[in-house]
Amino acid sequence: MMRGGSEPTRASADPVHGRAASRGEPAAAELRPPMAWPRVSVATYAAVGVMPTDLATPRIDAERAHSRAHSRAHSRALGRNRGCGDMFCSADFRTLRAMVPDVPPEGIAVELRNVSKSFGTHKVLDDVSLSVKKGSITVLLGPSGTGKSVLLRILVGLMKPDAGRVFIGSHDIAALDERRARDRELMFDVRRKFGMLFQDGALFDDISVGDNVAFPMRMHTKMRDDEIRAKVQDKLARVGLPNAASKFPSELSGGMRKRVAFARAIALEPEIVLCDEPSSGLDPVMSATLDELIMEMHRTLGISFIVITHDTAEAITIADTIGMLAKGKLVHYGPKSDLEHECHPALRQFFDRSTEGPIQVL
Amino acid sequence: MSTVGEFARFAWRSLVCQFTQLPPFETWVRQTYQAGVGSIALLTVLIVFAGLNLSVQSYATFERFGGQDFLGMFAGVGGVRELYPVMAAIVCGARIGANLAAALANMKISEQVEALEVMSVDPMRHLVAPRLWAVVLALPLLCGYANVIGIGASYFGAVHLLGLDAGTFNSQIEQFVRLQDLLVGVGKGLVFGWIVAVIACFHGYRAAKRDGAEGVGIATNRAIVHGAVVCICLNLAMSWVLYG
Repeated sequence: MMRGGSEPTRASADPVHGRAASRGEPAAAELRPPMAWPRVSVATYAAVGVMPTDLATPRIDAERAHSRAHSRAHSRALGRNRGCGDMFCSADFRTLRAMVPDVPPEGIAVELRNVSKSFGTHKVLDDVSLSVKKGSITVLLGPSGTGKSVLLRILVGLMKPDAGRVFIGSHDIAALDERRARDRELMFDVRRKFGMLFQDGALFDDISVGDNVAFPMRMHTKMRDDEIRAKVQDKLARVGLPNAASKFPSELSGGMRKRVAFARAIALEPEIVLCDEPSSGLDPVMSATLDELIMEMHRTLGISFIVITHDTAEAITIADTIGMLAKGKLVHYGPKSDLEHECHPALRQFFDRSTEGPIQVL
Repeated sequence: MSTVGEFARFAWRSLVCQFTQLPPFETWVRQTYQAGVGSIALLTVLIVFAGLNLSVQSYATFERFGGQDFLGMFAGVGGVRELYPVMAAIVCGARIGANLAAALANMKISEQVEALEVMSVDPMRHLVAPRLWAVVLALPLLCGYANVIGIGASYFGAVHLLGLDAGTFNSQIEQFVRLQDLLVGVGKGLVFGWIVAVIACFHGYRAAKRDGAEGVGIATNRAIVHGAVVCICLNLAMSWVLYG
């Protein structure tokens, strides 16, 4: 990627207020290198998910004054793929989105680029990069302590990576600073795409099961109470607990808590559901039931799932894509069918339940 | 120093959250009820004994130079301005603060706070702000209640136990205890309530999953100790500014 290199072409130099955009779609060759970064305001870059810190020497001088005046309107407009309302502004926002070279393509739900995370001297994630397609079930396997849960937390912005970028759609959430109100709001907007099944359920102890499942609906929708109750009943029936609404989490077994947590995670039918070891602590029948639930939700609601687990049988049953984390590295990542052709020794060891191989416990 | 900075940021965000989005009415009522009503019995017992003790001690001192008649003034002014609000803040603050810190620490450790964040619900608005409002409302009321009970206990001790003339005691109270003093006591309750609640929420909120059950204990302990120390220091500062 060239940054601040050669002089940009007329079309690429002027994407927001430029003449090229107003003449129709520029050719792909005009949009891609050898162009320099498009001459738009830093705020506009930020709005499409590329943070200003990454713009080494963008050519923003010529249009800076006009862009600054309109940057807020552009930011809002970019979110809606519409113009900023200025009759003299001929920006084509889809074109601009396509021209910003760093944003993942449309069909990608989540993308990690060179993500690293350490706790003290212990490197938990080491230069991990992966893309998760929309509507897929991705399973990440790995021994304990290899950073699987850390990876999930980084995906939803609960942890910041030490290095690397985390794209949710077009937003790089690793670049957001939650101490700033604007970034916090943006982070909350991004998180609405997610539902998460925590390892221990993380149900709210002081409210009933029904209220737990209803919670996201009450917070983020204007549904009437009877509509919410009907939805709660539907979700609880899907997880096989139609009569549990009035119970409290403390009255439930581990498996039931997990199923309620799953019902809560899918309550708003989010784009992506993250499952942190859904089968841990469950008996095989309960694990299989939860696997079927994941596949049913994927089939009926088109939800993308990212599941982390130790359970190889579960991975083979539900996954489209399988990844393997070992010693902080993503040693394997690809479609399930790839396993027939190539299989990293660590992954082979995992599937064989063997003590011989690159993963050494003792 | 980094902890102080962290606390300052937390306190500022708490204040912003408190005033930018008021909690739902029923949450408000429930939290205030839990914070306030649960403290009444404890506070009554402590303040009654403190009021009686104030009468007994001041009577013994004033008697040496024949100034027993000033007992009403001393018990009234000292109690209303200083003793009762501080006692209410420390005792109820410790009780309420311990509850807040333990509840929040437990929610942190069991990942309930993270679950809120993943659901795009700001825990500061949802968990911290309603609790702050509850304590800020409850503690001034408890301070006002402590003032009334304390003066009543002092009256009972002075008149019925020590044989002081009721008229003298009442006239001293009327003469020296002004409405302003009662309001200052209530105002102190408001400030103490907020600071105790913020400290408790801060310590509860800092607990991490890796701390386990011990983290709840540590958070509770710090909430009580730091809350009490800050209340005592703040009381001196406020008295200095108001009466010094």
